[in-house]
Amino acid sequence: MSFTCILQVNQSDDNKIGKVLDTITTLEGVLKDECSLMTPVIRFEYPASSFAVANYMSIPVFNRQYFITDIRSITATITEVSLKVDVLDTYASDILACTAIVSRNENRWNLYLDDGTFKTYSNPNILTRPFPSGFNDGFYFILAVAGDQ
Amino acid sequence: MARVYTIPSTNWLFSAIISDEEYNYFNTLLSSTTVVANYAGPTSIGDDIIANSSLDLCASTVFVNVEEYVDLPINLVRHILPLLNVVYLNETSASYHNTDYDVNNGRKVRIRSRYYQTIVNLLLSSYYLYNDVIVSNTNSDSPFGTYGTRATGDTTPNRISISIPVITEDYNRAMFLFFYTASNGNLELTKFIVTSTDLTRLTDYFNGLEGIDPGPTPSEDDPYEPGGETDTGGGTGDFDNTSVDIEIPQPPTLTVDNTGFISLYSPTMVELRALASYLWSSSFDIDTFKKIFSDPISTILGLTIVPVAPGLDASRTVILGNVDTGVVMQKVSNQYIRFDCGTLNITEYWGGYLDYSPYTRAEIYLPFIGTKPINIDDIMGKSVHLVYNIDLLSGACCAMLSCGGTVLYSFVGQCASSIPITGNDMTQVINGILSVVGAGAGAFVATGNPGISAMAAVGSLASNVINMKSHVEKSGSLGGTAGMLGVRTPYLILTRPKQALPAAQNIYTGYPSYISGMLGDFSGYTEVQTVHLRDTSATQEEKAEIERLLKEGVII
Repeated sequence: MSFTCILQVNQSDDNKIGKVLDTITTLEGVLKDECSLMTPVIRFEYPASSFAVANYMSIPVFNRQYFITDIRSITATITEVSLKVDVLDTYASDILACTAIVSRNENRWNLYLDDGTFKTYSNPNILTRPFPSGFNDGFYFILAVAGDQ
Repeated sequence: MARVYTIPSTNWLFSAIISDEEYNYFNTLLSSTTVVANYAGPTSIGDDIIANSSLDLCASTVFVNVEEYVDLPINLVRHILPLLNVVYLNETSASYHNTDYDVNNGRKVRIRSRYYQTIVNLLLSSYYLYNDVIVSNTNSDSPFGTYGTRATGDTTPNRISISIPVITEDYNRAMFLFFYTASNGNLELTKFIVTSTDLTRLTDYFNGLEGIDPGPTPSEDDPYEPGGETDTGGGTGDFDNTSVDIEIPQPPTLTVDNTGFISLYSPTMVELRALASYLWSSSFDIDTFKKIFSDPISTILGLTIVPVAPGLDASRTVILGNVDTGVVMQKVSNQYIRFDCGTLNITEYWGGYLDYSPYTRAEIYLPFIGTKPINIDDIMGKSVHLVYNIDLLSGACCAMLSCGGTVLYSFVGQCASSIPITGNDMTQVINGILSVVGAGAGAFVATGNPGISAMAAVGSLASNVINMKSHVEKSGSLGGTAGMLGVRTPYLILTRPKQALPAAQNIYTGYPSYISGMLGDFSGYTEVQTVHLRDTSATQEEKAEIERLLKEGVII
């Protein structure tokens, strides 16, 4: 049974939710026998050159998106493409709707929390801050005598 | 305690020990005379009960003389038999003795027992009833096996079979106890009959106890039990963050001037010379003076140099004891004086954890006291106000540091330099200075992590940099004359780390957040500590992968 596969190029980081994908073309492929939908191997009747610039694939019938992990030329016109499910983009809407405790974030942070990964140099700054007034108005004698006037 | 064991693959329950309470309960329960059906047989010992297809059942009273039975499990005898509403068969008659049998009323059947021999085996057989009619023998259901109804001539089994009836939807069972006497082979028939309601109650009760084996009680077996066990707790704080400022106190108002014994003057140099000249001149009336003092110099209690201008009263002549010297000096108005060094506002540099300990450190240099460490957390982001309260008579000073309106630190020192007048004075002054010099001047105090060798392995993490640093004392005690020789302006010393920060680090690693919310409300690099993944069609493996990636860091 063949099904439609959308051959794409992922321009974003692999760990990005909501990737920027450039579509190259749409192909018909068949699933290699006995393989997981998480790491399927799809056989295409296209030469390997058709997949030269692709690193991503969407398969609507599986309702999943995949990283291309391997491209193997079987014959001049048959190519096998190994895929690994991209769970972040496949379930992007589900993930973004989840609640979580975020430990680190690029834009929402609290700098009063100790950052165990922060580095400092070994030569610290030594600062002195004098108080406005000191004992600089001179010296005075104090004579203590017995008796009172 | 009742110990109830469930027989595997059956609904049979076997109760071996029953408490007195349960016995009493069932005894009361089963004393009901509610008629279920009539019992019509057997008519003679050894008759096959199964042949009596029309079986009337009724509850009967319990009467058991357990002492008549020996070599039976005493618990069984004492508890099970009464539970089972045992009735007796009168063995003296070939037919059962239905003394209290009343066809129309009561339906109470009482059968007396016969005790023949020393060994009596208790047998039990149960029958399926439908609409209170025996329909089948349930030999195969009894977990311990049941004995046939025809005991005459049969081998005496050496075991006791007991089954407790359970209720199914369509039928119930009646239980019959047979006492089988080994000596003569005759069947002693006893009968136990319960109502369907009682069966239900029994079943419910025993089902409720199913599989319960309480085991050892904690107080008997756990040696730590007397120490108490864990329990929930906490969360009862009052969240009271209110604070009352501790203000810098004013100097005392009760002074030596009030006593009349001592007078304080603030002489100029010229005035001091004039006094000295008078003391050694011939105009000094030694005769008058000698009436009170043996030594004129003893009237001069002390001559010191202080670093603050005293408050002054009007000038007056100096009276030594009762001798008017004619030397005019200005009198000190107050023994105690307050010297305000002013306020510093200590602001955060980063506005984060690096502004606080242990990353940033603070010390304070106090004239006439020395350098003292203070906690940066106490002054960061606050107004720091320093005040000296000084005793002009003794030279003692107390430096108080108010942080955010509250005095958090108090240090004592000596701010007067004593001028020796006599030889003894000189000796004391010198000895005092020498003792101060010997105490902790520039001492090296090693603090921090002694594991220096770990530094190369852990790199430049802020916490490790701080922990590797040794703390060095910056001064010893600077009291008295030594203090006059040192810096006389107080100041704070802040040791602040230098950040080693690559450009746009927040894009690569983010910063600590510890905020909860919907992931869609966050953007950029995000690491998750805990996530609730729900309402998703992802497989188990995919969910695990999602969670792993979220914890490693994703970009939203």
